[in-house]
Amino acid sequence: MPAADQAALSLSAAFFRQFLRHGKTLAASPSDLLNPLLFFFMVVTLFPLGLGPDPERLSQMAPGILWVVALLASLMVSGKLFASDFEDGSLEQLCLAPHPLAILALAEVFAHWLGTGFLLALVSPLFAVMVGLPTQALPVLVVSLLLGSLCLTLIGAVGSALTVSIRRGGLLLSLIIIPLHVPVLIFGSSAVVEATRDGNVASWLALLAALALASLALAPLAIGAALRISLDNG
Amino acid sequence: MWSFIHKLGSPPWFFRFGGNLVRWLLPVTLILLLVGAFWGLLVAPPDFRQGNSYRIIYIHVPAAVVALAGYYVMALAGAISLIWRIKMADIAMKAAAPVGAVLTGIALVTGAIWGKPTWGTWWVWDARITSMLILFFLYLGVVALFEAYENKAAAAKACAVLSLVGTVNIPIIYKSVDWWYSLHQPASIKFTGESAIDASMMYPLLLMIVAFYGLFAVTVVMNMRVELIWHHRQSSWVRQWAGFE
Amino acid sequence: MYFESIAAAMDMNGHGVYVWLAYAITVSLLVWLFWAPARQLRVRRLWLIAEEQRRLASEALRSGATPPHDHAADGRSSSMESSG
Repeated sequence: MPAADQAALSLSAAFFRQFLRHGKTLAASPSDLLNPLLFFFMVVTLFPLGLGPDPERLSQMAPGILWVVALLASLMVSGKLFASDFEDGSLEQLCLAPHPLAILALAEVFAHWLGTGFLLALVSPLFAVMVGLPTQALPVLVVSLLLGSLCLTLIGAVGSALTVSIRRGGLLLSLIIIPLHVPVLIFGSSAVVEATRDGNVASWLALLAALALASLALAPLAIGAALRISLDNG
Repeated sequence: MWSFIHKLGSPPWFFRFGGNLVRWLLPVTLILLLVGAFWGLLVAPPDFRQGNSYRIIYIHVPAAVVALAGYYVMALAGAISLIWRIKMADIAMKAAAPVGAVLTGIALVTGAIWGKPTWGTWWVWDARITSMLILFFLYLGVVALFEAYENKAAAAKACAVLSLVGTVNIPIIYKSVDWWYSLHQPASIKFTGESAIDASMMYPLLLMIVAFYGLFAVTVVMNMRVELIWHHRQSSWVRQWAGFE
Repeated sequence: MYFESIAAAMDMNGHGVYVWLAYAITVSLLVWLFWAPARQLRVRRLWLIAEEQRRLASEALRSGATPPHDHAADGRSSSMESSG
């Protein structure tokens, strides 16, 4: 087999190996999968408690509530993304591997997303009915959260890579990542709002898709650089 | 030209050059600020719609413009530091961050004060102010990240990465907030409309913008000199400057 | 001058409070932006001088009577003490 093919094969093999390894760790502890969903559930409940149970007003605010809580849930799990690897030394191993760190990190991020944002998007209709989101908007909610949570996970991973060497870096992570999440929030919630009004959903979803593609292309580079920097610090 | 840029990288040379630069640019900037403020406050005519409260524009807009430009300067310095490993660029980036943050804060506070007589409330979520607020958070994030890292060399690299990520995002953020605003606002009310600005108001505004750029340059260079002295406090050029040896 | 009197300039048809408040806050913040690094430079210079005097004093203490000034020893001892 020509050398280039061999190298390419190893890269995707390495990608899948990293992906499966991280996926197995996630799947091994069901609480890690369940907790973000429970968080989502409970925080969504806080909104009617804070705003009052009036169904009319709740359903008006539902797109924003659901999207903000999804964002918060994403922030919470982002902090854990590279933490265990950093602590047990496997992050250093990753840096020493012959494959680009960006690609291997992407594999981890992808596995992480499947266990967090992806799941959240799929169960979101259950919580959407609790805050009175009109049924016609449910499919758009799911799609917007699928695309959006991918963006949020990727951006959150950049933040996690930057703060993994800092003790109690969770709050700092939120501080540096929230401004970067704003476009995702705007595009995602606007898509759902438009769906409730039978408006132009497609352009918002297209923007979300564009963000997702851009994040897929660019975030791994930042993540790779940030991981090496974090290893220098800690 | 290239030798000049090369010399900028040398700490003692930059320290001396910066000192000379500040020595003449600081008074010039102060004069420009005073003239511009006087012109805007007392000479220019009031606005047709807003009356005299519009005079805040002469500090709000320059602060906002330079705050945004400052973020790009900071990110550029970070990029130079990352790519070519030039220590002076690190120091420039670290010096620019707090200045940009303060300028963004000025833009926000003056924007809020301007809002009260104009629209009746201290805070209005219009597209421009909201974007400014997010810029403020971006600045704070860079400053907070630097403080959190123990290894300061790694801290500079981390902040460079973060400012670059922020730079890519800023146009996206501004555009998305723009669209957010037009999606949600009731069709009739427009909080900040584009209005043609008269020449008699434009000139003092431009003068103040130039003055604020000068202010940015002066304060960043001053901050850099402070950092250089501390960083190289054991070297002979610093000891000479301090007055012994 | 647009305004006829200083009182008119202060009042600005009722908007004076806002305008002058905004300018006052801005001026204070800008003054601080200029003043803080200038002060820091002075402070650090004084600290360096004080540190040098401390170093010379402790050196004189250690060597007892003042021996001929040994520049080579200067270089050595300053590298030992420069751990801060």
